[in-house]
Amino acid sequence: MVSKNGMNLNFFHRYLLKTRVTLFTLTIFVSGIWSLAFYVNHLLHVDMQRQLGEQQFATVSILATELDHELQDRLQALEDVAERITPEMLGNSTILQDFLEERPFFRGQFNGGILVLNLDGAIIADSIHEAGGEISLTDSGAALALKTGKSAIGKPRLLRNHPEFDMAVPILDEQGNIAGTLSGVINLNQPNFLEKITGHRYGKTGGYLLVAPQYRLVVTATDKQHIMQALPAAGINPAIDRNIAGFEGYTILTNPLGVEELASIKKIPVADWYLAAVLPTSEAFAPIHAQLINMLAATLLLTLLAGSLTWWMLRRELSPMLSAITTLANLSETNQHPPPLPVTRNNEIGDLISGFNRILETLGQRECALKESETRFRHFFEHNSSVMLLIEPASGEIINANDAAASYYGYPLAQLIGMLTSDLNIRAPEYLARERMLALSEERNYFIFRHRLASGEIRDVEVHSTPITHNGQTLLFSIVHDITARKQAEQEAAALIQRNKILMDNAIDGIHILDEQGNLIEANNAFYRMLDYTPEQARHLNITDWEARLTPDELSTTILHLLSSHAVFETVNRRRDGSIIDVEASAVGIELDGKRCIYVASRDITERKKTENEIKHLAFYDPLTGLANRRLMTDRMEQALLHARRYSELVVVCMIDLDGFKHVNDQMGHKAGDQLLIEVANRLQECLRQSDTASRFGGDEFAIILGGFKKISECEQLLDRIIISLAAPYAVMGKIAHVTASIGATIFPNDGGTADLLLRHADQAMYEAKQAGKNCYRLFNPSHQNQQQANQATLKRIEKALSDGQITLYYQPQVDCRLGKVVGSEALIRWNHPILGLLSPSEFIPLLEHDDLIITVGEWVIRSALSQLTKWHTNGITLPVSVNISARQLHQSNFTERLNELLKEYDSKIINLLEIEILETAALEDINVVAESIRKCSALGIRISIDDFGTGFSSLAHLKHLRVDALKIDQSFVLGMLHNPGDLAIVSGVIALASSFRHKVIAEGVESIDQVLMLLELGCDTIQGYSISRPMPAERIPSWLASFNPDPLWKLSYSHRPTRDYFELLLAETNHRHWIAQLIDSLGDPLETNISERLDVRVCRLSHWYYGEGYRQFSAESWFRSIEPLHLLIHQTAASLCEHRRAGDESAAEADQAALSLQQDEFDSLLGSLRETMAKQYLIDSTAIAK
Amino acid sequence: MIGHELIVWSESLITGVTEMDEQHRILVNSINEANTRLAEHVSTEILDQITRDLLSYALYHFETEEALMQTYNYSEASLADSDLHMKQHREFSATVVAVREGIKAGRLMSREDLLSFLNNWLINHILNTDIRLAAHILACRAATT
Repeated sequence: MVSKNGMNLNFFHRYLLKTRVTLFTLTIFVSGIWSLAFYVNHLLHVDMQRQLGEQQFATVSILATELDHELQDRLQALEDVAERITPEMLGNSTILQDFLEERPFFRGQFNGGILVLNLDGAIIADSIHEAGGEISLTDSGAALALKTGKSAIGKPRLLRNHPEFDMAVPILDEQGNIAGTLSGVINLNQPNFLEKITGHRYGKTGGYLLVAPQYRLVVTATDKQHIMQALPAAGINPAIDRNIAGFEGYTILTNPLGVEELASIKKIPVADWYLAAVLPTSEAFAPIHAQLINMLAATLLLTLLAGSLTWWMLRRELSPMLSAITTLANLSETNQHPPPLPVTRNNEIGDLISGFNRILETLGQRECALKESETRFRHFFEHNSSVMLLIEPASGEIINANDAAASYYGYPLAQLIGMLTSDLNIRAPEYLARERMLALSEERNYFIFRHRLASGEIRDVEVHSTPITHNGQTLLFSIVHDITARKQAEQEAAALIQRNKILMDNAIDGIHILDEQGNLIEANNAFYRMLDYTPEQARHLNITDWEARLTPDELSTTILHLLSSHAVFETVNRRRDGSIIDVEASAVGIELDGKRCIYVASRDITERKKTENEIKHLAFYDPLTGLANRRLMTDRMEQALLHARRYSELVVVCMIDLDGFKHVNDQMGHKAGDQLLIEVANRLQECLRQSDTASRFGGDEFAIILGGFKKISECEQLLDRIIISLAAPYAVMGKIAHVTASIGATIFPNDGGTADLLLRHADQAMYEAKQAGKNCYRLFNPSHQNQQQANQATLKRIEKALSDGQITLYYQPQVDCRLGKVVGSEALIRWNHPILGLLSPSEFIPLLEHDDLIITVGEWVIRSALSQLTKWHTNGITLPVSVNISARQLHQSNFTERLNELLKEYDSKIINLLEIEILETAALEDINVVAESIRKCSALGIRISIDDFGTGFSSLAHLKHLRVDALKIDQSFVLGMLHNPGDLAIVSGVIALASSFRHKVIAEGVESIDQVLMLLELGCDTIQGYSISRPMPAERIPSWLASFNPDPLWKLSYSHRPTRDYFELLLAETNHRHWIAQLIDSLGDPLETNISERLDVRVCRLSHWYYGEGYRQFSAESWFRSIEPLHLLIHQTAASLCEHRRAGDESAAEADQAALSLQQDEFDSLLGSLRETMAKQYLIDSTAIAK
Repeated sequence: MIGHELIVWSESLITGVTEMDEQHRILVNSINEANTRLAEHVSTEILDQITRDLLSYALYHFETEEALMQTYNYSEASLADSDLHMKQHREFSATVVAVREGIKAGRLMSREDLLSFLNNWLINHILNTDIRLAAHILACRAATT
């Protein structure tokens, strides 16, 4: 079928080629010739039209000029005649008629007659008709002439049954006014002058037309039937409309009868008419038509001739090729190797056939090779263990298959061959067809399919499919591999990977794996997101690229560390854009593909850190100034103290308070205050070093810690700087504000203790700075502080002791020794200390003197004394009690009021027994106030005595001013009076003073009978002291009173005259003792005159007594004589001591001194026993007297 | 020891009983301060204040030490030491009271005498007397723990 079709096609082609070449050649040739013919004809036509038109126009122009002249001549004639017509003639038609009759030539020019009309249009004279008649004047020349006063040609009209028109001129009177018209009428039906022209034909069938365009009327024409014929209305025939509009020249137009004519137009100016010459084109172009017909006939003949020749020529030249084609066509049917084609021509076609022959030869060789190849292929195909199929690409039919295929699919080979691929493949046949096309075009040759076996089992296969030519057919050669197992494994692996990927990608932590060099091997999306990398960008990253703190030097050690341990740590990462984030990471060493790696999960904790920091900041910083707050300050201080301890440095803790800040706040407002505080904070920080801390505790209170000093002077410089800096003026809200700073500082470790204590101390020092006048600093003094603390603690203890009953009153009796009578007692305070035992007031009262506690104690004493007085009074004991009042209590403004308050429960009997002792020093502090208080006390019935008199150096004036009852001689003078003549002088002076002011006088601290006797001798009778009694608890007073017996010796001073010797001896002895003591003491100044003077035994006061009164009294006594040698020895030793001292012999002097002491002691005891003997003697004597 | 020299706090003065050492240290500071103040000027006021402070601190300190003695039954362990110790305390107080009495009577004690007394008393007391008490206390503490 195919070959037959091909043959038909060849056949058709064979003939078609020849025919087409012929037809093509002819078409070009014929169309050329014919185009040329028509073009020549057209040119001729145009040229002829131009020639004929120009010729016609020339003719019509001449004729039109002639007509114009004719018309003008007639108008001229009319004007000439009209000039001769007078107005009189107008009024007489007969004359006028005659006048016209007289002019026959004139009349002959107008075949329709001549008319004279008056102004009303009435015919006055008529060359044809009778005068007096009337004609229609509408559109006539006469009417125009009357109207315009100029000559005119009228519209052609049918008048009196024939077509005519008139030519008229005005008749003027002598004044030049129109008086009437003269008009000549042309009858167009009658022969007239127009016919000279229009009466002729133009050409055989053409003619002339005279047209009045203004009326669209034909005036006259060669064909008479056209006379007075109206032209078509405007718009019907454009050519005619153009003529009417004033066209001059020649044109082709179609007349109203539908005949195409060549027409030439020329205007006749005098009448505004035009003359047209017309010639039907059929006549005008008849020669051209004849010529055209001849030419076409010739062209047709030539065409036929050329076509025949060409066809013949081609047929002859192509015949060898056609025979070759026929041969080849036949050969292809037989499938046999063709013999070489005959080469009959030695031209291009011959060469072509030779070429064919060479190709045929080559094809033959190839076919052999192909056959061999096919054999080999078949062997390869049939015996291959791989499944192989040959598939027809269009249908998908299996053309061939091998045994392996049959066994794989489970079909007999014969059945398999002939099956369609869609029988095996589970995909849709359309899809498979597309895929086959892809394989065929070699766009794809690898496919993954699922094939169904004969058993119905479905297997995954991979198919390699390539096009091959087999037996001249293009088939698809497919090799099929079963990949079911592989695919399954792949799917499982993929599923595993997918699961892992889900785990990785959905993890919040940035999970990544690093190799041993720190290179990023794998990471999840969270990691990329965290560091702002895309996976592509992160491909060659190393841990040092994002670990901001890790330097390349540390890389290897860090990696080692991470590999070997499971570390959880916080670090800092650098994002791609360079920004830094805080990260929490956990890392563990793992093994991956036999390599050691690090698995890291890290998490961005920047926000958390930020929040933490904010919270921290809020918790630790002052929001206004940004300085540390108290909490942070304390913390820093503890660190600073630790550091200072370790490095033996000083730490200065300062409290700063602004002076005058309140003023700024009040005057300028809180906002200004806040601004000022901020500025203060800034200045503070400028003054401080990096390691120092400034903080604000609130209000205008700041604290600073300065560390790292070795010397106090260094800190002092810094404190000076701060004072100066803070005192500079402040610009606050456009105004100037002034504040200064008072700084209290304490220095660690001089001031030891906790941070809190240091701050308190600094605060105290700051307070001191304020007290000292502000704008300065004060350093805290720790020992001062400790002392104050101790004092405060003691005060507290005493206060507690008072409430616990540890404080009690002891009473010491006062006795008038002259009378031998108890006259009073002094209440003395005692502290029965649980640990230290009984403490005397001198041990603790001084601690109270500067505290109000002394008042409490003083009032307690008064209350206790009053209570005791009451108790004694109830028991029948009347013993006045004196109490001590401190200066502080005395100087209280409400002292007497309070005293009154204490007294009010008691009646005057008790009150009168109370005495108040005021220290002389206290009385002198404010003598006027004290005098007033004394006066008030006296008014209350209380007696006042001045205690410790002699210590305050009172003047007589003072004493006079104070209305006191008694003076108490200070015990220190009493104690010294027997050794020290100065003390003795004071004692005797006080006694004399009291006597002159009539005050009683009391001696305190009297410890020996000698002192008692001396005091009695001096005139002081009232004695208080150990020689009478030690102070005792109140309970013991009654028994003591009951057992009291005056010492009989007391009477020595005044009872008997001879006993005076006793005092003389006592005085002499006192003097001597004092002299020896002075001698021993005056180590540095042995030449003191009053001492050395007395070396001479003869001027000695004791010698004076011995050789005078003593000798008179006791010379008989043996013991008296024993005094002299010892006395002389003492003087000798004293002289020797002085001598050795003077000589600078220290050792000898010391020996003398020791000897002197011994001798003095011996001398004292000798004199003591002497006085004892004297006293005994006296007592015996007095007893004897009493008897 | 010469009166006008400041006492240098040293290891030798540390008894090992924290309460005592702290107070000794303060006492040393107080005496040193008295030294410095008296170096400038000796007056009734200053002497009065110094002696009063000494009295106060002595009271405070002696109370502490004697309380410790009671706590640790010092008198039972060594009656002689205990008595001597308390006697020295009393003597100190009495001396200070006497100094005050003297001041009151217009007899100002010289700076040298006062400092000499204070320094000698304190150093002697710490080195010879307190150390024995401390040894007893430390021994008791070691025994109980």
